[in-house]
Amino acid sequence: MKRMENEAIDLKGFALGEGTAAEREAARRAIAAEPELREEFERLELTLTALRGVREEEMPRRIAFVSDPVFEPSWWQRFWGSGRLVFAGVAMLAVAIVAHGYLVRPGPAAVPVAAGLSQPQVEQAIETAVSRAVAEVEQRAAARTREEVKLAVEQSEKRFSQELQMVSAAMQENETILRKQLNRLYVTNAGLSAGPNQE
Amino acid sequence: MIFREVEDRDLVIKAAEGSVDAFNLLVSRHEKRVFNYLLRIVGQREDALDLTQDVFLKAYQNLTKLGDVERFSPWLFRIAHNEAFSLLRRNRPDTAELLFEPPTADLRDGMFPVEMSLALGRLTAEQREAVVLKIFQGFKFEEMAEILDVPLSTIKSRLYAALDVLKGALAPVKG
Repeated sequence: MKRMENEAIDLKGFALGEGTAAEREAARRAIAAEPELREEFERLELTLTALRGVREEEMPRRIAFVSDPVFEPSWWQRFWGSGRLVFAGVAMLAVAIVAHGYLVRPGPAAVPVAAGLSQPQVEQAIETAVSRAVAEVEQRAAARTREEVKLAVEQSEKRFSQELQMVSAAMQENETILRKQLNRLYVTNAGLSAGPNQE
Repeated sequence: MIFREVEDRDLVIKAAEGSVDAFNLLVSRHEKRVFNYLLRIVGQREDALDLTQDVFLKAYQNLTKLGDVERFSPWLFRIAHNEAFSLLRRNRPDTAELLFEPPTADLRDGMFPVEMSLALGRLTAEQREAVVLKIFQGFKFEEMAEILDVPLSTIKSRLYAALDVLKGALAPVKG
C-alpha cells in the first residue's frame, strides 16, 4: 500500500519545481517519512545541482542585424503599422460627411421679399445671410482645427514620453550589463594577482 | 526619476509597430539564452551563432503573427527549436532518430566537465533538448510543450528518462 502511494508521488516533478501546492506538500511528507524516497530525492538533487552548475557560454560576438537599414520596414509598412492610414481614412470620411452636409443641404430659407422691396435690397439681404452662414462655418472649422492641434500635441507628448521611457530602460539595462562585465573583470584580475600560492 | 522596467510585451508591441529599437532591446535580452540553447543542441559555436541570427531574423519578420504578446519567449524558442532540428536533419538526413553528436574537444572543455559531457552524450537529441529547456533555460512543463508542440506527457517522459540516465552517471547509488 505504502509502495503504491510512493509511486503516485511525482518525485522528479517535485525536484524540478513543478506540481500544485498540494502535490508538493504530499511529496515533501513522503520524502520525510520514507528513507528510500529520501535517498532517491537526494540523488536527483545532486544530479540537478551538477547540471545547474554548468556555466552559460558568452556569445562570441553580438548578433547585429537590427541596425541594418535593410531590415527596417518601408515607409508604407510603418505608415500602415502605426495606424495613421486608418486615422487618415476616418478623417477623410469625416470631412466628406461635413462637406456633403454643407453643400447638399437645402439652402437658407428664401428671404421673404416684401412687396415693394427693390432689387438691391433683396440682394443685400441675401448677401447678409450668406456672410452669416460663411462666418458660422469658419467658426466651426477653426474650433475643429484647435481641437485637432490640441489632440496632436497631446499624442506627440505621450509618444515622446514613451520613447524617453524606453531609452532610459535601455540605458539602465546597458549599465547593468556593463557593471556585471566590470565586476567579472575585477574578480578575474583579483584572482590573477593573488596567484596560486598565496595561502 | 524611477521608470517602470519595460517588459517584453511592451517591446513586442512597439517592435510589431515597426520600432527597430524595441526589437534591438528584445534581441539584447534574449540572444544569450537562445545562443546557449542552440549551442547545446547543435554542439558547434559557429552553427549556433548562425542559427541565432536566423532565429531573430525570422522572429522579426513574423512578429505580427505572434498571437499573444505575453508568450514571446516560448514563441522565440519554438522558432529556435525548428531551426536547430532543421539543421540536424539537413546534416543527417538518413538518420531516423536524431542522436546527439558529442561536442568537439575544445567546446567540451569549455562547456561541460568530462563526466557530464559523457552523460549528456548518452541522451537522444530530444531528451537532451528537454534537459536544456527545463534545467538550463528554466521553462515550465507547459511552456516546453508549447515550444516543442508535443503533449505534456511526452515532455515528462523525455525529461524523466533523461534524468534517470544522468542520475546513474552523475549520482550513482552508494555502496
